[in-house]
Amino acid sequence: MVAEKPSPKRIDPAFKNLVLKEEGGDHLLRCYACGTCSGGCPVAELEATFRPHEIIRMSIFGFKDELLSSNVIWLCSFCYNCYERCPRDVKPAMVIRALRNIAARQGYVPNGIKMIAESVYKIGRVTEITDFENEARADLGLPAVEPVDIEKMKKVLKKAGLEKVLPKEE
Amino acid sequence: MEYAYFLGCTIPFRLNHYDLSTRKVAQALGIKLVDIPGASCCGLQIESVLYNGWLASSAYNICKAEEMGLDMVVLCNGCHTSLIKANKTLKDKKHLRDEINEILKTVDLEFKGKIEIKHFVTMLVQDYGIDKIKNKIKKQFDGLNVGAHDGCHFLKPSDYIRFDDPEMPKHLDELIELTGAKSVKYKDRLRCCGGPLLSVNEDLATKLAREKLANFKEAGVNCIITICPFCNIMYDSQQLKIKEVHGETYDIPSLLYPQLLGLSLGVDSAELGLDQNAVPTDSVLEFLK
Ligand code: SF4
Ligand code: SF4
Repeated sequence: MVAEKPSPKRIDPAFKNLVLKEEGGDHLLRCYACGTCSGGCPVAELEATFRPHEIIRMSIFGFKDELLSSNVIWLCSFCYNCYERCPRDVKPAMVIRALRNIAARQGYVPNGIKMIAESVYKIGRVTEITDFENEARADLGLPAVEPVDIEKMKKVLKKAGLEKVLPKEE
Repeated sequence: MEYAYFLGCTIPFRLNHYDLSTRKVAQALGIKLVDIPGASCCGLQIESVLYNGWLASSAYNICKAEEMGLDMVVLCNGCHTSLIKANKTLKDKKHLRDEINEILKTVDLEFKGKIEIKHFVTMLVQDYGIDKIKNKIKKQFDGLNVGAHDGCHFLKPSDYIRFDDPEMPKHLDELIELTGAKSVKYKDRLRCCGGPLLSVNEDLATKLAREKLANFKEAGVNCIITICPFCNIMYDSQQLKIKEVHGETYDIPSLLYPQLLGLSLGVDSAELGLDQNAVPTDSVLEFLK
């Protein structure tokens, strides 16, 4: 967790290069630590362990393990306040997304998100629309929701690499 | 006017009244909504674990609308931000377009960048026009004070969405007020509903919703208006859960915008699914003259 003090050997100064290469992480080094992002963050206001400017600092310094294995990077609600307001266009929310993508490749994904990703892979949707749901729709005079062409969708998601960030089974 | 109509995952699963009221409003206004056959998840829910997976999922659905030759209309703020971001990213960045088209080739699809994507609300303002809606109003609300919640992903990221002012939005108020209702000021209107956190940390998500509900109550609103299934769930069905778990009673009906507009256009309340909202909505009808 973030609260723990990392020992110097757990710091990886090259970590920032990984973040910079990730989509949306490319403005990381622009940050001048003004704290505007944390000041307008609805999650930071309620959750003491979550401060976007700290996440940015830790990424620059290379607190890799602390960031990737911690639950903190998953607490952002993607409200985009920081993205809109950062005076240096760091796009903190997108840096957080970059960190999550890196964390996912290393096997760190919270269960709730893992389950959602699995159902998107298996049924092409977050929630399955069965006959039951379609009957409820018919009662209201709404057309049935057609099933996703799951073979096609799976091909797309497989080629994009989704299997690699999901636990192995099938 | 004709649009490809993208429902997303959550609406047909838990919020059919949003879909129903939207179709009734579209019908009353003479707008044709065509369902997109075989549409999948917009991909937003996997953006956090795999950027390319999100982009490819959004592109998959955009391609379907491109094949229909129609601009796309969405109801969910999540789908909205996801599809608009993907559409613009793929139009602007050739290397990503090439990468995603390489993926889509496996299923004989190609992103061409031919269509626009809009929220139903944006379409009403930009394409249909407030004045034209005004001409079709049959009944006005009298004395109904409304708390409008735009939702983060209706407004932001504003460099992609480019519709309303992300710090001082006004379009939803305009739409609310043409029904005769008053969109009242309340504390922290732009604050997140908590919805995106529901699957990761329900406690934190609920804290955000409770704060908003307290602000609505303090402002004395007669009802809340949302334009997103997640925001609606946080203020409607979660409102009942909050009552049960935390003993806080708000009793504020939470309507989807098309339900409000539909009433004003003279659509029968039974046809707008008002009996499907979690918090009873009868009190709202009493303001309809
Ligand atoms: S607002 Fe921008 S510059 Fe300021 S601390 Fe946050 S990321 Fe850094
Ligand atoms: S996008 Fe995330 S980090 Fe940025 S202000 Fe919103 S909740 Fe905070």
